[in-house]
Amino acid sequence: MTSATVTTGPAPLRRLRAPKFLLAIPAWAWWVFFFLVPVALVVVASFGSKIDGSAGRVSYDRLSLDNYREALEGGLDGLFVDVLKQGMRTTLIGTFLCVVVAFPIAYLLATKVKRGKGIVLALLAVPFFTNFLIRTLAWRIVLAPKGLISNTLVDWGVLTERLDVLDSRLGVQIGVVYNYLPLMIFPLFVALDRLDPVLREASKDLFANRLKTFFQVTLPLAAPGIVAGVVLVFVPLAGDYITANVLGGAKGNMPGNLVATQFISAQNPALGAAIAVILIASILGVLGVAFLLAFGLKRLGTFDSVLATTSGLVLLFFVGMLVLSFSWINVVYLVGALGALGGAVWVGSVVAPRLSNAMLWLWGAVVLVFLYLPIAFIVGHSFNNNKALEVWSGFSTKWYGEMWDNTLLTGSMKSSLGAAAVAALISVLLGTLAGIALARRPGKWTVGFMAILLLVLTTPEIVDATGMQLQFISLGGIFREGLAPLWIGQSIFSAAVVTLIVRARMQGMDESLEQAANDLYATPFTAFRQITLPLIAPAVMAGGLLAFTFALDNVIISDFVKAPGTNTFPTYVLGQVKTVRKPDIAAMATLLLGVTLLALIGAAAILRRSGDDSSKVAATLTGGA
Amino acid sequence: MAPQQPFRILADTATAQRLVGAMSRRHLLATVGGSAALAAFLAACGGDDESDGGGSSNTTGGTSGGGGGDSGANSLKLFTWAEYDDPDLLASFGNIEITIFNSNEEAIQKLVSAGGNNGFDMICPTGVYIPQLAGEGLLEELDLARITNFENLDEAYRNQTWDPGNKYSVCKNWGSTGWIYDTTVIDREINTWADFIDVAMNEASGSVSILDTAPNLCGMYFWANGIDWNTTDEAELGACEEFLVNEFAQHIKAFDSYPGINLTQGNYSLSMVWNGDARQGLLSVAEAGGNPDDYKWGLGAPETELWMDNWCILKGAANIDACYNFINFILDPKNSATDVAFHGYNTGISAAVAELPPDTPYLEIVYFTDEEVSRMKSGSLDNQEAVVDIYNKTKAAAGA
Repeated sequence: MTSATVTTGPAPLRRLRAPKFLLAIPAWAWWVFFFLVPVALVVVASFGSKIDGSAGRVSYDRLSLDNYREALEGGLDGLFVDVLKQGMRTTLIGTFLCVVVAFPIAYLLATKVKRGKGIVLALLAVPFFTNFLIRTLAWRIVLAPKGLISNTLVDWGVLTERLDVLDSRLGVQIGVVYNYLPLMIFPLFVALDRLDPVLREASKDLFANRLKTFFQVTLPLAAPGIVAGVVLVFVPLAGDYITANVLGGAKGNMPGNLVATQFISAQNPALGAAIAVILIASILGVLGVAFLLAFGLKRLGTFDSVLATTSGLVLLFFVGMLVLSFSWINVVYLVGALGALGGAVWVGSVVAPRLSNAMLWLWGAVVLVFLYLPIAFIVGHSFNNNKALEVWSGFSTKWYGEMWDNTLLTGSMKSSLGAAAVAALISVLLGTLAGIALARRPGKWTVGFMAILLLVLTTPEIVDATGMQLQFISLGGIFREGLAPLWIGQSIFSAAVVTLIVRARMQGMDESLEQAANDLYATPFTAFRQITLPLIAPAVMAGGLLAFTFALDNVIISDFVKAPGTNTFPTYVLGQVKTVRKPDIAAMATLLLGVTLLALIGAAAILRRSGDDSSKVAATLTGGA
Repeated sequence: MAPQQPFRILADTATAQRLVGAMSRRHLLATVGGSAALAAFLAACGGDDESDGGGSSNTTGGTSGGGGGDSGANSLKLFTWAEYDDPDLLASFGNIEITIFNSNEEAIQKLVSAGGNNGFDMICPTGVYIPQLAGEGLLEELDLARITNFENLDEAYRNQTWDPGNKYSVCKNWGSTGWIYDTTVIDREINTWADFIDVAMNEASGSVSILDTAPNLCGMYFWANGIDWNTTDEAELGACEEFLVNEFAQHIKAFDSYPGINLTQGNYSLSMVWNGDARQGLLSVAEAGGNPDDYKWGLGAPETELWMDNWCILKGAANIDACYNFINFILDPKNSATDVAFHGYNTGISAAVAELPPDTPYLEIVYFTDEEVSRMKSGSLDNQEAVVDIYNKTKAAAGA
């Protein structure tokens, strides 16, 4: 500490002498108590056993590995291993497709779009800010065999038979790509956008053709974005079972589903806990192997480190696919797909550069349609006269009136807004302090802290959810009443996001201003209030907004921790998913979308006013990846 | 809890006598079906209007309880299935806050993990789960003397094997299981479960939905093959597993407990369905200007299910007076009729039929004929573990 003081000049009279990590303590404590402890509870429960004849109580009298044995050795009738393989396959294909679909978009946006980037970015983000469950359900309307699109395509002779995509693996695959695509587009865009155009020009001046420039300049520099995107998509997708449940029919089984079933209806939390632990291990295993592979390639010296990471991930994808489902036809498909992809890049960049530009724009348009199709249908069907959401029978605004009489729905919305607001507040408080500490007081403690933070970001929600349920039930009291459990549950992930955003902002800021304030005899508090806070305000605002949105959208944790008699909007919709859905949920979702849009526009305006350009806004809004 | 266990009820003399009488007919519903109900139903239809016995409906405060308590209490928290109660009807009673569950197992798990009533006053479980709920100490013993409208309930729907003497429960409604299919895709008649299985494995292969419950999946096989669906016979269960997992699973598109709307959207061409949901599907087609005749409903044959969902008060309920008021309210024939029109299930109150609007559609899917009722068999939890096991294996095979 003293050496730092010496290098920055004469010692100011009132320098803050607090321990380095002080500001990070609240966030650290929060995560230890409400993240590490619940996850530990899951791990402990996985060694327990179900009390026979009871509806789901766990005995810890005799700890054993029986649950793991049951899960892995043909207990559950081999179901678990099959589902785990199937789930990993869906996850790998989904992640891979997200990269393939998102890269051209991000590239187009970063290098070809000159004006109005902010607007295009916002356009890409809006579907992401529509309720997760609602936009998944929307695909059931879009793809209905007797729906508008199917009928039209048949009428036009494009299809000879009705669409048959729902309740199949293809349906799940479309759903997951749709739901996680934005999480891939944004980090890719941020990475590509940071890339100085001068570098590519230099490459051109040095007689590299477009292909060479792409592979030797653009792609390596985009690699951190790809890695961030892959992690951001892979982890939640591996734990997501809701998309598959809604769109997959009998084929929609995911590992997370088995955990949830054991906790909810099979009444054997101990077995569910073991499955959850295996799921985490698989996710960490896959990511670990990917990074080891990348590291190995780097050591070979043939690749630039970041390119190596990318190649590692791609390789892992192929190896994973082959291990999970080896058949020659799959090999043919995979090689074919890769060949087509490479061919497209080669044709595009070398043979017909002009054509490639046109193709890029076309791709952009196609993806925009893809992103907006379900949103359009859900908004459209909120004006459906029918009692059933999917069955169109004429225009009516009646559900916008009737939804207010549905006290369950309005009550759930009220709880949602209340819970999300407090969860966002908690996240902002904890995340801002932790972000400042990380940027300004780094030290040995950062390693441990970042490890927890990364765990928070990479643990599938279902694990956290089940753990918190165990924890809250045993704590009782305030943890089983009102909105308190939701405040806690929804703030865990959001606090980590805010931390990262604030840290990114602080790191980009010169510390001299704060030091100047200190030198001018400002108390630490005054310096914080007059200098630091105004400077990081945009990040705090954006973080708060994101935290609010995540909390509002949260399904799995909320479903597991909510107090008796409480529903949030998403858990209410979740309850309707398996039954007859009424258009009032679409009406409510449309209204919510409108409100969220206004809030987003507001936040973007604040960031713009504070001087950020659109790509910085995007970077801030997406976690500063 | 074994059905043979003795029980005690706090009841007034008249009720007690009626109950003793009812006790001797304990297996009535499970064995000879609801012919008594049908008789009552026919009598009601025949103009012998007995509905005034139930008192007129009270749209503001609910009918008063007979055994004391606050007759004005009208706020309670109900834990039940989705879309199962007419919101307007509930609103006319008072302030009822509903939380929904998707399966009996889920509901029980929620209560058990909360270690009690979880803040709810009432729950609406399926009959066969009542012994489990009672065994966990979750249910309040009913004071039938306070349920003055209990007498409106046809005798066939009282005193079931899983709750002798209505110690814990009063019938909400009952239903059965059959199929509905798209006649534009399937052009042969489905008359029995054997036909259902055959069509499912041929022209409807890959577009069949099965109810997302273990007893129904296995029941389909047992009913088609003349086996008691409560069988605990190892060989029969083994044959069922062998068939469902190795031969049938590959044809299943989805496990869906509410397939009505999905079917009419073209997602399935053949669905196993509960009668109320089949009716909802047909109504939504008609409402959308489609042709409901494109779809055909059939009740399971030669045997099929009879299930009954029930009103129960949870132990320690905070609003116990309101619960009794509500049960009386909902047992009123006029209110019962409103409820029937909403969910499309028989509420076991024959006097309600006369209160239904004359143009109520698809009543034949709500009220069954004598012959139809005679096909229905109550379930039990005797083979629960075995059928759940078969169901899990079938699901795994269908998802492979």
